[in-house]
Amino acid sequence: MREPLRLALTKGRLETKLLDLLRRGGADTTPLEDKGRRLIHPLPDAGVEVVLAKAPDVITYVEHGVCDLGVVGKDTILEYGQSFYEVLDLRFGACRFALAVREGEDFFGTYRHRRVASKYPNVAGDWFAARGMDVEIIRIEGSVELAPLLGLADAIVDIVETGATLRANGLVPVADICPVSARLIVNLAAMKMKRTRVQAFVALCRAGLEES
Amino acid sequence: MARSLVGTPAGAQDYLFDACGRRREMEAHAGALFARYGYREVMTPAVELFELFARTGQPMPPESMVKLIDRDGRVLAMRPDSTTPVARVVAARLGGEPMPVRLYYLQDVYRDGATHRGRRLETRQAGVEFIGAGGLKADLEVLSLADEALSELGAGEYRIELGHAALFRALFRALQAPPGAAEELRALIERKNFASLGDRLEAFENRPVCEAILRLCHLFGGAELFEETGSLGVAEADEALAYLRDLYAALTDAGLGRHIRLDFGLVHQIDYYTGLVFRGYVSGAGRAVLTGGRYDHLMGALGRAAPGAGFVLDIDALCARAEETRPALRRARRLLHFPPARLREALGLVARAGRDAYELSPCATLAESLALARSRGIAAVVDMERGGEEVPVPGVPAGESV
Repeated sequence: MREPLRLALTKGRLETKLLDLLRRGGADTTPLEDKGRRLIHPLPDAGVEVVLAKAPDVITYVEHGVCDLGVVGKDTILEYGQSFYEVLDLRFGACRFALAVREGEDFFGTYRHRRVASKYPNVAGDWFAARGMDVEIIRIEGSVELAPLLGLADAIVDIVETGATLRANGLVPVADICPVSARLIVNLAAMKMKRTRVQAFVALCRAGLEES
Repeated sequence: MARSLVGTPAGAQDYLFDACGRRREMEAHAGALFARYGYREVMTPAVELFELFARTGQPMPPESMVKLIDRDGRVLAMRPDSTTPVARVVAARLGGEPMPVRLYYLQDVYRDGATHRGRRLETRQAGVEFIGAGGLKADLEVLSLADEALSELGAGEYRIELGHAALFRALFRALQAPPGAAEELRALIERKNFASLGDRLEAFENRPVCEAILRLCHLFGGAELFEETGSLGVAEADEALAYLRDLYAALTDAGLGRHIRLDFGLVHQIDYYTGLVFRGYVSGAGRAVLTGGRYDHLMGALGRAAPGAGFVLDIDALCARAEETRPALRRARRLLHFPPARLREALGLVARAGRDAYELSPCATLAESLALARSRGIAAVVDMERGGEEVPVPGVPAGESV
């Protein structure tokens, strides 16, 4: 038997969603449902072994080639991604990047110095730069909604699913930046050196997508 | 404070002991191979005028260059690649040399930015430039050298993939899109981002060309691609395909087909390369260890129009592979304890015994030499004062220090 591909999978919601997808595609995913203490989980049915990781680490592992494949959100790709192939939109984990401001605030019409808080300073910075807007980006790690409440920022750039958290904190979305969903990414060299196995896994994911 | 004094800049590193040996060995190996193909070595300064890179279509963005300012206020750049300086040498210094010229180099390049997450500020490269010759035979020569380089230095399985810069250029021109869209589409193709590329192309009217671009993105693999692709519907793109087909056939005839693959979506540095582009991969390395292509406009930008092609090998990536597949260099097996008056004799013994057999002891007494040997994990001390008797080192099992 050929050596399995190694897949870096974002822990949490994307993890369960991917397993659902692989099951629909016809693979047995029980080894990952009962994880125990192992760190590398073989999924022989899918031709992969799975490493669970935090989202930015998924990208790091795939870029460095210690993992051949990765499943990670488009948000993380936009913020951290550089060189890998992004071959499939897995469609789950769907949400969007949005700019939200304090209710009643005229964010675009002011000459004041504006500050924007975000967990995604690159995404936010690129979006404002593309519009020729000079704003100061402040990186926040936790609940970004807090920054405008505390008076640290005039607006936030964050991932929005329903908008309920925003509303609860007196914020309103004023611009959509881009849609976000989970993606299958492939290491540059793995795509060339392990082509048949990579294509088999892509086909399995496609089969799962068609079932849903 | 102390940390800033003893640290290295992000992305730069020291190389110690075995790592130096491996680097030197790898370079010497590459250099000998290039010389065998008739290439001659050049060294260019680590620092050049910033304009040399900024105004010759060199693909590195200005913010990625490490810049300095000289005392006249001119901006200098640490070379971000060696092709441009080597082309400068050909334009400025080798005017009397008949073309073509074959040159090689073993030197560092410097690239700033993205140095976190394992990217390097300083990278050692071995590269060749074949300047003054174009066309099929010149490309074949460069590719067969690339193949031999990976076969000799790559430590295992390798692949070289071929593409052509004119494929995307011709299709994009036929699309009649605003120039600003080129980089966006190119980046999507480069990342094989099939989904987003499809969405982005929805915006354009010219359906057949859009379909050809989408297909381009999917086309990578072996010779069967030529049949699968057929015509792309744009004459210049089809000419590029026909050229690649001829090149592939010639490589196969030359017995090099086994490691050659095709990727029609190979679109890196598309404004710089003018024809053939290629990349080399070895198993176990996460990114390309060899990059090259044809750059027929570069010499013209330097005032001496001529075709050119070349490639670079990433010496450090190849060394990392060699380290995994080959045992590390050995330590000395014995410590040589000698009286000062017999230094010449001791040196002679070390030289005759060959690499790593002996290490000279700087200690005055045998007891000190034994203690030193123990701390270094060396199993025996050879004592010249007692006729070259081999004294076992207490606490170090024999055979451990090989």
